[in-house]
Amino acid sequence: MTESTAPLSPGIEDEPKLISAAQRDPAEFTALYDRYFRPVYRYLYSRVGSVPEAEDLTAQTFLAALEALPRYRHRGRFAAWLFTIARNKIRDHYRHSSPSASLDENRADQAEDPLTQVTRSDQLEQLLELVRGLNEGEQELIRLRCVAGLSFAEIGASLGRKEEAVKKAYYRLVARLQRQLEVDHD
Amino acid sequence: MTEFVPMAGFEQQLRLALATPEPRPNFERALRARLSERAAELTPSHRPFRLRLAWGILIGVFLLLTLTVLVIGPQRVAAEVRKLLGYIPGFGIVEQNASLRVLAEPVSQTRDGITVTVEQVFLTSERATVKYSVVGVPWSAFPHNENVSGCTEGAQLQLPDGTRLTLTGGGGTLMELTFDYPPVPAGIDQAIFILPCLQGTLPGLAPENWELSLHFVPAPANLTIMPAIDIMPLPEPQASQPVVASNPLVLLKVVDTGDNYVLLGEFRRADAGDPSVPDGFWWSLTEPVHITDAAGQEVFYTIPDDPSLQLPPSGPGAEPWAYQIGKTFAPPLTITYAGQYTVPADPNATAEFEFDAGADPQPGQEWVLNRDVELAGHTITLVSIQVVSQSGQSGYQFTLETTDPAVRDVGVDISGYLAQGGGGNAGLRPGKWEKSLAYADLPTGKLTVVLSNLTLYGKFRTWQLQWSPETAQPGSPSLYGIRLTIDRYIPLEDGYYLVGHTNWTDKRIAGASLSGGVLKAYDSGGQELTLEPADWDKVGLTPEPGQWLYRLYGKSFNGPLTLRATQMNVEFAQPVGMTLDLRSYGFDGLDAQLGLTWKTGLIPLDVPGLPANAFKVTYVKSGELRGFEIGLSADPALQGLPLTIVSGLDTAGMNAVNSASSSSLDETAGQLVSTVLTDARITFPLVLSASSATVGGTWEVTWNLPAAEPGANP
Repeated sequence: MTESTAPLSPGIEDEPKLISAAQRDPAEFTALYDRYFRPVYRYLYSRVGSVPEAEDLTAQTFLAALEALPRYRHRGRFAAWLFTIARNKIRDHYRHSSPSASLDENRADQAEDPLTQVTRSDQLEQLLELVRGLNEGEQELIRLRCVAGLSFAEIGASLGRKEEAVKKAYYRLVARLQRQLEVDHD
Repeated sequence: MTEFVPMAGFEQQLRLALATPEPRPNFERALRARLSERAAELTPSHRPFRLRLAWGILIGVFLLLTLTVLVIGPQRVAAEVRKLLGYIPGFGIVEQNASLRVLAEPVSQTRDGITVTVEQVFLTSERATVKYSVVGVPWSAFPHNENVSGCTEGAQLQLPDGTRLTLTGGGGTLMELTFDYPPVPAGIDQAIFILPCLQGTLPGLAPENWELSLHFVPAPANLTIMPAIDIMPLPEPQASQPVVASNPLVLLKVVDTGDNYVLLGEFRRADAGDPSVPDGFWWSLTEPVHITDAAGQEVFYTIPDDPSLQLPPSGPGAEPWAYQIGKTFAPPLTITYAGQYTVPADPNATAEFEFDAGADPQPGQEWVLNRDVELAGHTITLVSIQVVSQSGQSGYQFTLETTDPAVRDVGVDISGYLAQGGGGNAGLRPGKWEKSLAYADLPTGKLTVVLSNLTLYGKFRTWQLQWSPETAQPGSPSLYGIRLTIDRYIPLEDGYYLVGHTNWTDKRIAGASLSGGVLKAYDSGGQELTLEPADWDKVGLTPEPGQWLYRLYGKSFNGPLTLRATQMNVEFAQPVGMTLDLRSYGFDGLDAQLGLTWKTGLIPLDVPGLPANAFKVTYVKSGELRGFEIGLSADPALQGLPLTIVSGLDTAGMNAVNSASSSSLDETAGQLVSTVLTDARITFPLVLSASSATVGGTWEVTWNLPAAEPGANP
């Protein structure tokens, strides 16, 4: 089925060159690391809710990506490949340890500096509660889009779903959240 | 239906709500340093020795047609060629003596600027297949609201007596579709193709009720039928022999399309068991399928574009697969399926508890229970139950948690009530998941919830399959049969002139020449020598077609020498074409669209010997020229494919037309980009073609050091 799509995320036109350079010389991998470190970290933190665990999983993800990069074949979905590694690390993490809280439940070890803790208004807290009430698949979609900042095509590639289906699911979800928020305010 | 538009800024609110703390700068720096250390260990001088592809091929031996079944554990090798079949592109696989009829000639009809063409029809005693295309549908005829779908009604074939054959299968894109029907009886040589509406279009926005008259004739003798080999396993072992586990990964047929092999097989779940895994297991892939060659290198593969190549399943639980590969690999190939089992715990184990939903539970109403339940020796916590309502049905959603990493999922029911449907998301996130049950009438009052059918994560298991083509040759498989030959040498005071030529055997190629002076020379110890392209005028020779002239510096080296080329320019006997039509994507040619990229779906290019597909198009500008960067996903051997515009330009009022084309490759990323530019106005369909390509490979010739007179032949 032929489809049209929104423009590619800005700034990734040079990605094939970065990947190629890193495959030739692993020392060049830091350019990809610099680009994806924050999105990967944020995504993993949103899954585990703990700074030490998020850091550990982030390290595991990038080390695994560095090791596997020679076998990677670029078809425009590097982010999807990287986040698939991250999701696999999460799965392995839960298999071997107790599952931690997700989506920002307050924990004592979240941050050493209180100033680094995120503060939210009542409305945002309400919205966060609504998101926590979604099923896991819906939460994952929201995380990959709103926390990790992936495009619909990248999310589809990561989840093994068609881009159009992902886009529809996401906008239906957003619409539902917005209606629920409006209902709660009424 | 009212279209919902998210409130401006709502998504931004969502992002703010989900904001996470910034990572610690010390951690970011420390991880970068750690990655740099690891990268230093991984640089080529540190990597362990690995057999390179060229050596792997040289070590290879002549192989007969074999099928090697390889499992982790007991081995079983089985191969037998049973019968020869034929593959007809666009139709599928037929037996050699099958009676076949085809469309006498394509039939087209144009209404309101839209053209429907029935391109091909194949009729056998088993089915009829119709392939048609649609060109010229405006973008405005398609829906742009995700809640609205366009035409999905399929076409019918009406026979002369009024009988209408309805669809039994089909697929394709909005612009090219293939439909299958029951067989057209022998003796009937015409039918009417009735298309109620154009796929995906909205009512009233495109012509409807198309009727095209089709006429059938016996298939011509020169119809392209590619060899397809039926591969069957040996008979089952006798009872006295040890029982050997069957490999669920089975190769059934191999189609030789000339340029590629298409491997057709299936994954048979019934054979995916393991002695240590209890009955009732489920195995699923945990990573993409890998195809590797003798040297362990990944072999590029695509899923064949032709839906007729998908075999029907041989039985319950059999999942067909098809992979298309090029022919430049070091056999044998290994196909690897890697995955994990899910296994049932005690199937008889159940756990029950009661909860009171009240007389009138409402959507959204929730009971937080946090109740631990013991089931088959594992602890699961029922966190909450919530009333949900969707698409006119009501039900209950159960949120479950466990700290037991072995637990994957559990069945949930409400005793005494039959659910009409349900769902769940177990396995997405270990440790927490939801299950839902939907009912025609929502159960109320005191309810008994039953947990049963606990499933657990099992072990990881990999299956592999090996295959070699019948005619694998020792040495490097030479693309297009290209060979290097040294014709003569001319001794110099400090070296030699070497005159040689490139020849080829593949009739699809009209010429092959060294690309960009990439011939290199090595002595017997592998040391690279100085070799440069030379000037024919200086030597006083006139080159013949395909000849090359190089100057080798120095005379003190250990022979024999090896001359090696890794890139060639080839001229195609027939140009390779593709057609681009962006009208349905809303392309308007205005500068506001510069930089936009459209994903076109895979557009195959018929490059001889090398699979290649265009998959995206970007509107670009260079100076006063505008055009497209076309992204290609192709066999790694294809390293350049410059496309030119053949037709589709509006040159009215122009004295001269300026055009440009180029092609560049990111070799290790495996992505080609071909750029076409023009200062004429672009119209669609835009027809492009390539008459040449740059291909990569390894071509070598050995030269023994001379002891003869100047100008002698080697």
